[in-house]
Amino acid sequence: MKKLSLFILIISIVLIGLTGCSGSKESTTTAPATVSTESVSEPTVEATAETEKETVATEENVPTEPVTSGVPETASGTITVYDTNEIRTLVQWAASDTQSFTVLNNVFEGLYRLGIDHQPEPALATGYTVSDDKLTYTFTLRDGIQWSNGTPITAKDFVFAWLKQMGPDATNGYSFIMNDYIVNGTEYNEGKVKAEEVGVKAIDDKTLEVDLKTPTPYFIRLTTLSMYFPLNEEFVTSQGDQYGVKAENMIYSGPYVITSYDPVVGTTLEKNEKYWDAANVAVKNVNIKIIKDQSAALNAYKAGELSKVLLSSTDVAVYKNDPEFHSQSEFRTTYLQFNTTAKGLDNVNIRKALGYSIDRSILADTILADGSAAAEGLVSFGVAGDGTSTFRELNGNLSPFDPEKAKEYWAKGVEELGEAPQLTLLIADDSVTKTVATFVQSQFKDNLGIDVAIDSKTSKARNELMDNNNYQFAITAWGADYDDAMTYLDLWTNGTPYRGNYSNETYNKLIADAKKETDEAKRLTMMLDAEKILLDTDAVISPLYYRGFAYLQKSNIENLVTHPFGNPIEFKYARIK
Amino acid sequence: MGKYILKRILYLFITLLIIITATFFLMKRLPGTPFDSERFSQMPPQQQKQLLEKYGLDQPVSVQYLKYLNNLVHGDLGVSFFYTGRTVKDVIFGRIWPSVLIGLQAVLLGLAVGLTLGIIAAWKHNSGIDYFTMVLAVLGVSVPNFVVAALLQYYVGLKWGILPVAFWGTWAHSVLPSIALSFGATAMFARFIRTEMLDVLEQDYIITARAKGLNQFQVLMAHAVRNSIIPVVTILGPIVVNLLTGSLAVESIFSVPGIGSLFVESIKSNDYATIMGLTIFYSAFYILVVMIVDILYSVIDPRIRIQGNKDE
Repeated sequence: MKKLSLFILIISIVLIGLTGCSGSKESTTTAPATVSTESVSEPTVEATAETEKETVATEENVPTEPVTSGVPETASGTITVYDTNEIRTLVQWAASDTQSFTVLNNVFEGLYRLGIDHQPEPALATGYTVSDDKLTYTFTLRDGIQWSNGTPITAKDFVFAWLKQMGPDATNGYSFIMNDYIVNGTEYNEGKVKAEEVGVKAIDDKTLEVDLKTPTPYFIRLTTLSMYFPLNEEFVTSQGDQYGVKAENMIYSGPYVITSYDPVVGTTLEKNEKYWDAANVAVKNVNIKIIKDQSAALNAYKAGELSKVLLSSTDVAVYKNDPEFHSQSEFRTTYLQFNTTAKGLDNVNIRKALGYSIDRSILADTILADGSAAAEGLVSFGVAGDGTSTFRELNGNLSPFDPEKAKEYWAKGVEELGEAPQLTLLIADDSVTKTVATFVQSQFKDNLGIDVAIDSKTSKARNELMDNNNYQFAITAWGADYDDAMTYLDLWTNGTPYRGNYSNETYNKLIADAKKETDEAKRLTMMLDAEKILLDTDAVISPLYYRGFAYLQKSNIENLVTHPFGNPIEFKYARIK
Repeated sequence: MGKYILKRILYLFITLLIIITATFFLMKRLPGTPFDSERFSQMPPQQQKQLLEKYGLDQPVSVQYLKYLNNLVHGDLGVSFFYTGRTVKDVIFGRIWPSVLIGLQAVLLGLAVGLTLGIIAAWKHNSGIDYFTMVLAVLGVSVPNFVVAALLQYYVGLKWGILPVAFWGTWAHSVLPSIALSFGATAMFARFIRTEMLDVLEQDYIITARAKGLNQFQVLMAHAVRNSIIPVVTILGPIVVNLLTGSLAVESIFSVPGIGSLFVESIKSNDYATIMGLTIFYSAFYILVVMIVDILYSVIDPRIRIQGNKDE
């Protein structure tokens, strides 16, 4: 008896204690910045466009000497952003998700780094030369570059990291991004050749030579990806399987170093004083937190705890006219994949009819309304073309909305088949895809007068059905790995059920030839033609929209760049006014 | 008593073995692999094989099962697929503390507020405070905790700025999630103790207690509450397990790095080792708590322990 009353008494005391301590409210993380508001001279962008074309890029092309005018000696201020998913790993040969890429990109650096305009700029390398057959690249490393612990960064660090990614240790599924290009990469992965026979060699500490299988005009862009970042063999080996698990188990080569890392809480970054371009890094601290709940993130933003917040479709209407509102579209295409061997959809006219019957502008602007753009082809807006026009501008709108044509093709298809096919659309069960599927279903009803069933499954189950050739058509998406149309177009050459069992000799030949072509104009023409065959002639897929995002960003922050592909957020160029 | 506990522990292991076996084979029926499905299907077959071999996933399920049991006996829960390179033990123990802290605070808060309100409500039957408690109890049971969480976050966190809006760090960060989580439990405790108290207060021994001159407080605490507490102890077990193992909604709203979302995530990503680790952890925890509750009964009501000895 006594014990129980004592228990209640203790609880009461504890409670009084709890409520007594008033919440010690933390000072908001976005501290007033002292960065001067003078205009900051950014590394000139025109120079990099040239480095891509010219065979030789020397130091003169790019202002490698830090432009110190306007940038204070010491950086200050804090930027706090968030991710909606855990940062799964910081080991670059294991990382495959956007969250991990974001951190890696800001604490490491490759031979090149994407600039403010999303074009590659010399980073740890000062430039490169390429042989006449466009197969051998020789990179020269910058002088005086070092790891955050003071060890010099040498060409050997690149060889070690690249071999790691090409070999059997890599678990991120990204080995293809080297093995497809570098001589003996695949053979090394399969254990058929030794490391010395692979086409990446350190000639001396400052010179890295890379041998490619085929001419690859976008190879420089690949070197900006996290898989191409260098790693110090001695350090990584000394950490064993603890490498990348904690902040102190890593050394860094990028604009920032990690001061704390917890996959679920996030990471905190601090400016890397050993970074070669440290004089141009203006923001001292960066926090990347994890918030899964959309409205919680918005509340945190309004409370001043975040510098930037993504908006859901429903919030966009509210904030559309807010001066802090921005939107951007990505290199990621969501499309209908037709199974060209499925009953009904083996008829090309039926496939074309379905494609013509969808008004994609309503989908992007009214239904999604989150910065997504109506698709006009497989390759997204902004993907590189001939230098002056983008790929999309050159190939025009290959997925127009035309209800009249849709009805015509449908009638023709039904006549050929003998009866109208019963169709089921396979989708993943996330809320956005469901919304898109319902819209597409209503468009089929309105413009073709047909009822299409929707089958929603978890994304793993959907993929399994597709891999097993057990579907008619499905909604699926592909995001660009690098800024070139080939990242999309070569997917349909393998003839797998996932890609609709599509196999067309002409298409495959165009892609294969484009991969070998040394003349960039010819190569581009081949890819333009290939896209036309895929979408217009054969209608194997029907693009719906390019994913975008709408966000609010504090008005005192400038140049917090988000790239439309690869490594998304770039803190290096950010300024706080 | 000792024999009884030993028997219960033996049952615990048998139950666990059944749960492990069932979960293991069911889990292997999940579609897909633990690897990023888009990347995986794009890989050359040679590399797919390499990956599956690396994690022993190319072997028959029964072999994998025996291997898992063997590792488990040696205390090895395996390595997470999702959190590459981290052991399941690290993943679970790294995330358990925030959930336990919030859960424990919520249970204590729920007990203190719920019991107090319930006792007063029964004592002052049909008074204002009684009606207030009942309204609160109905609200607490019917309003989901994520609604409470969102409201607390908006008003207390954002509008009034009293406590942090979200994130994890200082103790202040744990207050709002604890309150949000305690709401349902508070209502349950209040209802149970009130109903039981109303019954007990009608009993003859309460009149006896009053007649022998005990004051109101002594009557309530020594006689009424002790005799009404059994139902509360019964529901305490499941509530404690529920609150301490984390809440998906509350943790996601307040960005608490707890264990609540781990189970759902691990199933979504086919993270076999983590699914198994969590299943074992949850089951063992639940069985243990139920066992402790059973033992608690006998502490509170000696009649349950000492059979045949009726007088107290």
